[in-house]
Amino acid sequence: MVQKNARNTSRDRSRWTRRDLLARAGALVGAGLAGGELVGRVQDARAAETPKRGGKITWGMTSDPVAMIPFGAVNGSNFEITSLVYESLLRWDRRLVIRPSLAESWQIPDDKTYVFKLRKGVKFHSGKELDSDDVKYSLELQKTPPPPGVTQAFYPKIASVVAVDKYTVRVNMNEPDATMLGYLAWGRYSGIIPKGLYDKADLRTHMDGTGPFKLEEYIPNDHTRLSRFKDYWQSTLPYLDEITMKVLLDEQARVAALRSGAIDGGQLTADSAATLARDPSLAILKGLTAVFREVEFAIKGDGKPWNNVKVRQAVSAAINRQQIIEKVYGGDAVFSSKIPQGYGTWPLSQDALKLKWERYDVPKAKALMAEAGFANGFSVTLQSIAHPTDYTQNAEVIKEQLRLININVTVQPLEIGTFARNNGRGEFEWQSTGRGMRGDPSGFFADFDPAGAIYKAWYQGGYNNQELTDLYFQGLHTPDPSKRLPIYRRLQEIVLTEWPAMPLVNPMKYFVVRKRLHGMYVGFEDTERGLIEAWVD
Amino acid sequence: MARYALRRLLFLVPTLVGMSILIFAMVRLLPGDVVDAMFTGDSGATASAKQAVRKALGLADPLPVQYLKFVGGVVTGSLGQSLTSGEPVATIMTRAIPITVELAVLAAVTATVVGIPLGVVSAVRPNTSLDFAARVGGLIGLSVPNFWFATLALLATSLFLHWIPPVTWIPPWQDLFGNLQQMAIPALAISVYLMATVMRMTRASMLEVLRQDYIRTARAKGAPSRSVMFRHALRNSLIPVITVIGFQVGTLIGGATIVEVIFGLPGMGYTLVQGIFSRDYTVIQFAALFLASVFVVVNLLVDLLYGVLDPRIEQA
Repeated sequence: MVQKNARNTSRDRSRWTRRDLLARAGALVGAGLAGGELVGRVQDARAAETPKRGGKITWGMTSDPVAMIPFGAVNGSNFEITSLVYESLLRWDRRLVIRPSLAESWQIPDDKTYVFKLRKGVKFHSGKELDSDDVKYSLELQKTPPPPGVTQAFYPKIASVVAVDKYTVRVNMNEPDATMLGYLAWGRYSGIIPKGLYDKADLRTHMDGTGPFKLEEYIPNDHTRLSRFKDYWQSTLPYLDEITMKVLLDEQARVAALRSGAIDGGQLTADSAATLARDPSLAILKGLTAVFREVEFAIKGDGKPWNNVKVRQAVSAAINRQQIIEKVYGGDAVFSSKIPQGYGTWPLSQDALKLKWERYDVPKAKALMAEAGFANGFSVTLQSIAHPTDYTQNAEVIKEQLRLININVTVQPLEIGTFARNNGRGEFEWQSTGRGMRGDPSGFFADFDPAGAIYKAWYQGGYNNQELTDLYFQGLHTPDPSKRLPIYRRLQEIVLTEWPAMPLVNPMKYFVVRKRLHGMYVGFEDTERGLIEAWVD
Repeated sequence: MARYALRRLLFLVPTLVGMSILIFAMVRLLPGDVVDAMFTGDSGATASAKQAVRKALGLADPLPVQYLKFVGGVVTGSLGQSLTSGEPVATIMTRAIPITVELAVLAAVTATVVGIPLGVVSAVRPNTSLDFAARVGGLIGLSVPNFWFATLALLATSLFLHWIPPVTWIPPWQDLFGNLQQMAIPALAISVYLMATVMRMTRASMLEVLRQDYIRTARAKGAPSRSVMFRHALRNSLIPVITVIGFQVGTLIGGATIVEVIFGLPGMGYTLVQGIFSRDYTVIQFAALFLASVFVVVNLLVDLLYGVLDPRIEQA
């Protein structure tokens, strides 16, 4: 992940303008891409300094975690806390390479069996030692999480979990399922808790994980206080003694709190981050996340122009993604494939996207519209998420761009609840939205599973590509990553040729931190997991 | 007086029933429900999984059943649980209500304590520079939206003083000074409008009363000017002022919403807004019902207070 830090160039900071800042950022993004390194790179001049233990910080969250449940929570803010408290058998490093966590090692004797050797001496916050019964209990419960958790489509095809001995767990699958390891490494729905914990405690407000921080206090809609877990199995981590995660919904409130030092860091938009670039006590961190922006079509064979693949191709050719990047994101975004940039080695390269798949080509777009019989264009309503504002800004830019091929777009910003309802029911012509993290690359294509809810809502009766469907299932059933790579290349190519959904760009996410806070980074999976390695002067 | 109060109290019942129906219906007229908001399309949940959640949350029941459960909850005091967090609504309310009430009370007190004397001075010394300043100040206070004032106050103190109020909520029973520090700017932000209204209303009303015959009579009979001002003029001119303050307390609590969001104070308004975004029906219903009830009860108190200030009203 490309990370840039304002403190690198402190000499001339006083002369910076927003444009300078964004231009420099853009140059760095380009450099990062050319080097093929999108994840895990930290350009912090002081990254080499030895971290110090101790200290307390306050971090500004953008929304309330709602409930502290270990699995089954749908809101991402829950994971911002649980990712610091609960752990799973595996974990990702910053480049999304799967690493051991609670499992020291694992074996895959055949396509339908996983054997995990647990790390010995791992303690839960309550003091109990982790054993195979806890893993069995947790993995089984994750299938249908107790309320307010809800059943997730991401749960792998696990048939049974066997506690072979105290430190060995065997997982038998119903069918080969390549999502298994990613599901565990992501940790969002796969945290491990002590056996029977749900019967003993109210897990909405009580937590007992093996993670680096333990819960001290949760005041809903206000703050969550975490403290360092002294018996954490990675003895050097974490560095901070205490973290207060304060919910500050209002962006200006986070800006003021950062300026005054009331919080040590928080997420801000590009614009607000730029206004703070000249504050000598603050540093700007940024990086890609999995939340790429996309426009969705409802293709239902109802005679709408969308049903014609040539129209969709024309739309993509008429969208100038570079202009969106510059106008909406101040240059701080990259082209996005159906698998977002930064998601390991899976996405198509930036060059391939810019020069071929997502190339801006108005004459071609016009020709395609003519071939489709829509030379005179048509009108369409594009629904967008009203807040954050970039979804609507993207829609407005697209509206202007599509004038050239005579498509008359009406942009309709919608409050998130209404947008979500229309989205889930397929009640839209066109939607400007964002997608999120997945444990496995197959997750980015789950919309095309004919048995899935999204397929039924958006595509039933209108869009079908047998090769896409076949490859989707083939990818799910092929655990070997080297064999999977060509499958996911091809899947992306199909989507970027037929455009059943239209990925646009993947923007940077910004954390602004006080300079006393070191070692923080923007996690690709869209969490504050960097706090595990962060430290203060 | 007692009969009048009783009659007014009885009127509360149909008002509250009507309100509960309105709130219940309006909440459900919002497009999408908690399950739609929860799954936002991106989690790929099947329709049957969504239906299962609806069933578990009681949203699959027929609407009249849901309404009766809601009203039953109000009557028996078992308010149910938040649909998103599962936290008991009673707990949420006990946490949020004191914050908003404290904000509103502080704001109302500030507005009264500052607004009334300013209005009196302005009326007693009309067309002086003091009067002029108070009137211009009042106009500004009326025109400035509280969220703008709040944001500006926050940014100004952070920029120039490198200080903002403590960000995590401090209950007054734990640390009164810390709590007041935290509440001062938000309370001031929401009191500005009311302060201006009170000032202008006091001034106008006072000017009118001062022209009345009984004031001239009082003066003619040789009453000291202090007594004329406070016993005769001020008391009589306060009736419209109290009406305004009364009506505005409801607005204060509603107007606190955006200020609560800006300052990150987990009060009623904040809770309500969060509830609306996530379509958390149980939370929205009780929060809205509470706010509406406060409005109704405050209006009732204002009416009763009229009787105290002007004994002619209770006979009517």
